[in-house]
Amino acid sequence: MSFPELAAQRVVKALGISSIEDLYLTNEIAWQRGALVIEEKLTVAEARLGISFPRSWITVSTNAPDINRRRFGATHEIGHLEMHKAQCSVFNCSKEDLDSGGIKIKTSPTMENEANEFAANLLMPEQFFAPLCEGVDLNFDVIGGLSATFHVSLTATALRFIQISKEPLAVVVSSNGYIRWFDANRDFYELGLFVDVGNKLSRETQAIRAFQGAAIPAQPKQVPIKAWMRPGRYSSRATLSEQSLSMPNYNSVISLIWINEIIDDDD
Amino acid sequence: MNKKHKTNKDYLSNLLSFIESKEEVPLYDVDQILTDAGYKPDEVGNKFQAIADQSAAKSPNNWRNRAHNAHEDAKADFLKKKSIAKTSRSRSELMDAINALLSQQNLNIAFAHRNFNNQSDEDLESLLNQLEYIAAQRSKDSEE
Repeated sequence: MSFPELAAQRVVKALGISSIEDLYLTNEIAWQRGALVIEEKLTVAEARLGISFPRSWITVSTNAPDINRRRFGATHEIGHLEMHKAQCSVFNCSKEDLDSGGIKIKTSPTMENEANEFAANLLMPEQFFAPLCEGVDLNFDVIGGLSATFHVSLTATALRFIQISKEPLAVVVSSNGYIRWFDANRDFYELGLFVDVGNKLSRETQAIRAFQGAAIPAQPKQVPIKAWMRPGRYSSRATLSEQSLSMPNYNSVISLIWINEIIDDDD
Repeated sequence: MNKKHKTNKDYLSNLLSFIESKEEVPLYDVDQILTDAGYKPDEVGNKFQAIADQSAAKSPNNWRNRAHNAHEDAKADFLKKKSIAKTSRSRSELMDAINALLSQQNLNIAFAHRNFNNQSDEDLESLLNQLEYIAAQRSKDSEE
């Protein structure tokens, strides 16, 4: 179990969180862990944490696109409070911390990733999330249903699903016709597969259609594995399943990809 | 009394009488006593469980309710004071005021930020409002 997962489980246990409905109580959870949550219009930040005693302050921007995103932002800050309080308390925001551009970032990318992982684990704890993933196939209907159940964004839900699943699965986000980032589970990586991040989307993907003004088929499609992956030890005839969904608000496409056949190169 | 017409209050009253009874009754006897009286022990257990759950959900001692009330009170207090203290300040005034507050020894506040590269005047105003509120609270606490 990772450090963020342990930290999230510690909160679940300390509060006796016993139902999915308890997970919706973001402000109450924050309060019990020592923070007040305020919603204000922040123009640059999505969320801000001021660590103080006896009460810390979490400010969530009303500019965040939806309520799920705000919940994620607030829970991300609870994560900093739970995991990084010690590091933060050793620095004082002195005059040097402030300049004409504003207040410098005090957190490292590792801390940010840990806070995100904490948020995913607190909003979708394994004991509540995993039973709902058992025996179901990956597709956007399932992800959409889980997203609605846990009040978490589609992307965060898809990422949590692939972490929980024992099948080789990956989530890819593309924008403006380019692959921006991907995440996969261990089973996927163990196949030696890596998505070509930074590359232009192949014409053989379904995702590219969204950037060509065409509709993306609602059902998953088999596409050549090389349409998504860097060259590897897979057969040139191998395929993978892809289901893509356009996210016009973000000018992006989210793609679920998974392997459901033997892909080894026998040649 | 016909058991079909028993209310939750009746059930609870019976349960309290049972709990307060000094006589120790083994659990296997409880089931037998209920069965002999024409009740189904599982049904009775479920009923009491439902009552206990409902009561716990509404109880002010439940952390969910306690935290909700305390959080809302604290938020309302801050928003009230913020609206009273509303002033229009230039960027340099905002920065000076933030610097002055952060240099106060007793404030002891640290910030961790998310996507926090360049603060707008609006964001600085929000930050200053919170710092001023915290400073005022500290001052009030130390006087007490």
